[in-house]
Amino acid sequence: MEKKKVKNIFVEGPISAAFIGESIAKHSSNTNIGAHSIFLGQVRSDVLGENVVQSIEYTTYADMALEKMAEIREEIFAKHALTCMHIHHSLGIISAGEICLFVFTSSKRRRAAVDACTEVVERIKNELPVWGKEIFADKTHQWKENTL
Amino acid sequence: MSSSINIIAFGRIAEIIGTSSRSFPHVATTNELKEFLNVKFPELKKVKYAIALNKKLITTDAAIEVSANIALLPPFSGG
Repeated sequence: MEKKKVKNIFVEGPISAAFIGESIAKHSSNTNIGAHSIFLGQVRSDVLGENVVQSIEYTTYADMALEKMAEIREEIFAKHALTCMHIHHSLGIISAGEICLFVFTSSKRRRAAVDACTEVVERIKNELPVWGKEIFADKTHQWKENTL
Repeated sequence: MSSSINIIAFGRIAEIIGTSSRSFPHVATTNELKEFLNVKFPELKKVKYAIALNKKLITTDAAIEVSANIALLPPFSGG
């Protein structure tokens, strides 16, 4: 099997609005693009009984996650007519209200960008070995669960 | 001569086994590993987790090489 190109998607800490803005600006030189689709995941302050989520601490099995992400990327590009796709996922402690996932797809016409964005977000949540520990105000915690 | 295997664990599973990386006596297959771990850490019986061998999720019983990268993965919750 040929070796897939493995790109890092992980960043330490939250993803800033400035970073997102700059990412959009960088695409203005590619005038073949007619549509962008962006998904932003924000840490939600869930209420569980008396407890309120203050932050989520993300950890990952990076080697496996990046290999899986390379596989997903290849499949998404094979399926949708994308110009480019950028993915950034936070690690470490992210406070409620901060951005922890930034998915950015671009294409000539809107359908490919929108469909690919939706699909890759689902696959990130279901298939990447990343874990979120919900930390409460009293410093106790519980482990979030998507699906396995 | 007894060989050992190194196991890494994440999230809730790392909390249960008390560390994110440790070695255990070599067992032949992933099912045997689960049985061994369930006896050693009874709390594991109450939680869901998957095993990855060399960074691939295992869905059926698989042979464990001494040099394998073995990881215990609780349900994912990224994004």
